[in-house]
Amino acid sequence: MTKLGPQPAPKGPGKDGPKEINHDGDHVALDPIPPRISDQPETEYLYNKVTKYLNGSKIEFNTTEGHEYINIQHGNDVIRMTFFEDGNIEIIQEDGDRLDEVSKDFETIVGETHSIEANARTSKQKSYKNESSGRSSLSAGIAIVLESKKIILRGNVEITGDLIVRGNIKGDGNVDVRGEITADEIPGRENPNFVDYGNEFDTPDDFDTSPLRLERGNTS
Amino acid sequence: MRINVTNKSFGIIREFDSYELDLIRRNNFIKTPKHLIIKKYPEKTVDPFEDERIRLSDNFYDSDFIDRKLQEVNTIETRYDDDTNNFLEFVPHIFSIKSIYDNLQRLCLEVMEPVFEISGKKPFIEKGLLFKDTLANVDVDSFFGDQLQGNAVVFNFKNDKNDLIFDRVLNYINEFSLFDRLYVDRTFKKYQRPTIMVSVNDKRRGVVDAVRRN
Repeated sequence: MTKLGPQPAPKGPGKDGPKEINHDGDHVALDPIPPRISDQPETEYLYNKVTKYLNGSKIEFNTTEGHEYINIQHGNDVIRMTFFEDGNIEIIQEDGDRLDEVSKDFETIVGETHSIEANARTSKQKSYKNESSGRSSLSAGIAIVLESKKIILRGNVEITGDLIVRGNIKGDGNVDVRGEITADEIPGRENPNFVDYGNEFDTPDDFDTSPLRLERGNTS
Repeated sequence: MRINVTNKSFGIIREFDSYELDLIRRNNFIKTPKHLIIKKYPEKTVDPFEDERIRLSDNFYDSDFIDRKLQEVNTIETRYDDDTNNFLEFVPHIFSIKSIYDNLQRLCLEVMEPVFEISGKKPFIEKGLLFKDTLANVDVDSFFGDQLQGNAVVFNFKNDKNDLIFDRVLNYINEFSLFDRLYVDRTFKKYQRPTIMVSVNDKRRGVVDAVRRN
């Protein structure tokens, strides 16, 4: 009869056993992803504890005075998260996507500037509110499209450039014009740019015809 | 058409005193030159602010004839209806964008470009493409039907003293363009100037009529 007992203790460091690095004073702990916003910290042996695994993933606790940081870095050398002495946190992904999934509220509070830079941004929501206590500006290289059943502008509106209205213009107040008004309906005046978009659908032109004989050969 | 060319009209030509050039009316529409073949038709919108117009011929663009949105693909479009704050859902034009652009291009090559060449300027286009969402109660074989398909245009010339340009252009179209209907409106009741209404389609009947308005 065989007695089952605990497995014998492993001998040696083992396949995944942690290995202490930096014992020879090399300062490569944060490489190959250098700091982005913080200064390159220094490390001093005995004060920088690094646990590194076979695939290169590592966890660092650097307690070198004035250069303390905590770093978690994947062995693929494209992802790391670092907490620096100066209070900065860097989460770096040099490749790969990222997802923050929250089932309830998600709040971001920024004391100073919040900058987002992207090739394209998409935002989908049921309602959207954007408040500024000062000035807001919206600019685009080609066009800004506001699309809604109804667009309400509250306040005075100043337009630099042409205004094309595909519909009627109606107002409750006066119309004050410093320049000239031209319209097709004013006799003797002509507005070459005026296009009538008023009707939903076009209707046939109402006219009769009678045969017309044009003289041939008169082209000059 | 017969054009007399003499050394007075072409001063540097001295090899002959007069030359008679006979231009023959074609039987087929002008073939679209390679550089004008439309590679990408618009998907839904003709935007007056958009810089990228589609060239139909050397001197004419889609925006010369089309002044509104024709089709909608993905979203529901509404437009302001009246002062009761009601909005109507966007309804697409009955004809496809591709057929309209192809027809307009044929119209440009057959009529508008020669008109430009002869008059030396772009005519004032009173009406280009017209818009409708259904063909109910519409006679497709009518000038209005052609206007809905992009087969017809209504134009005249500003500052045309004694109608010289108008007459020249009218005679050219009458003799050399493959048109279906050519209406001449000298009534001054709808338009301020003598106006040409011309349609180009496969029927090519060459009907020439004067417009009468009550």
